[in-house]
Amino acid sequence: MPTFKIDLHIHSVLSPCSDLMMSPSRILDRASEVGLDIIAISDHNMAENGKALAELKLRNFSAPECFFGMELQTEEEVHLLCLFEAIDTAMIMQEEIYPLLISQPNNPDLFGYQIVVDEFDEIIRHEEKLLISSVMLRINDVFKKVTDLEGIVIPSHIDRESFSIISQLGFIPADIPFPTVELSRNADINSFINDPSFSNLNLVTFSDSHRIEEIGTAWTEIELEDRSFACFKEAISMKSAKPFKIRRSVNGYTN
Amino acid sequence: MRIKEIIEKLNLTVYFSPEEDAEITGGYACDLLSDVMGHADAGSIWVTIQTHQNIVAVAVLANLPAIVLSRGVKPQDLTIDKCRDESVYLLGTEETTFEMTGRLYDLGIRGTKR
Repeated sequence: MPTFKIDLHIHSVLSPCSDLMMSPSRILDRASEVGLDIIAISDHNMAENGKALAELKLRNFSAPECFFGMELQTEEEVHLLCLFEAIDTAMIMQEEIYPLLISQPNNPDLFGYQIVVDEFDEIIRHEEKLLISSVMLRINDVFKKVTDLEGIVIPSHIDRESFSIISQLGFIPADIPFPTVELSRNADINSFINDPSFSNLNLVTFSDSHRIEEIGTAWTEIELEDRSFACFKEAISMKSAKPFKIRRSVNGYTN
Repeated sequence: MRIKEIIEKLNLTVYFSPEEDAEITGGYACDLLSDVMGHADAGSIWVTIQTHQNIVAVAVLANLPAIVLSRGVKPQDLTIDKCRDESVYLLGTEETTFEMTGRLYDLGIRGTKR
């Protein structure tokens, strides 16, 4: 089976913390340049810039495969990558959770701009609600909502001391629907590989890019029949016999 | 202090109460479960707004006999089930964490010393 380079954690200009260069078109171009096979834009609590990404992908068959979704912050302040095969499904998710996002109006001077753009990098609108806040859904409710919409959930950066399922909940609940978790690109990966409490989990690392040059600094290589969402979903739905290959480039070297 | 006495004096809601009474020797207030696991002293009553069933496992691990959910947050059903399995008191109050810990302090309960 072929191996695919996958990075499903990239923030676009809709995330306030992201660089203004992070438009869907530039993200897709850069992802092609660095040889990624599958990407996703996963902004905080919103999937909307996936619309432009979907348009761009439709016009460019050779571009990386694209999945759609968001990095959702639960009531417990746990970040979860919630991903779907189609932009339409991701937008259903966005519409359902948006009223549950309890937040203040964004102050761009403090937090940065939150911009929805089209496939030509033209500004469609500014998002008013500050997106770096919690959606009033418990983690189990999010798992249910996403799996009902046939999407997948990957808990984000579980090694971090904030906004991670481990920092907030102490350990990974046994009943999570997909046995796959993300380590941040700075994590001490070997300490997790060698930890028996993680032996039932697949570990992945994505770039969590906020700037163009970060795309391609971290990805996970997985053997799949093809680049489809179905194949990826199947792969992360069970503990893989051999670990996924985590690749990170540090100071120009890839390890 | 006995937990039954605390429940009575502070008029706490009881979501689950094991048959046996328990002795409370301290208190801890935090919503980060990783922090609670690492820093709460055994015997403490724990005030939090987290409701996921993992709070019960953390209470068992850290030997905390009782959890108080503050600010009126309601436990999830699975969390109550777990308390039954593990014999952990699950209590509640409409007051905020700040108010609740103040009242516990007034009863003479002291926090983990650092």
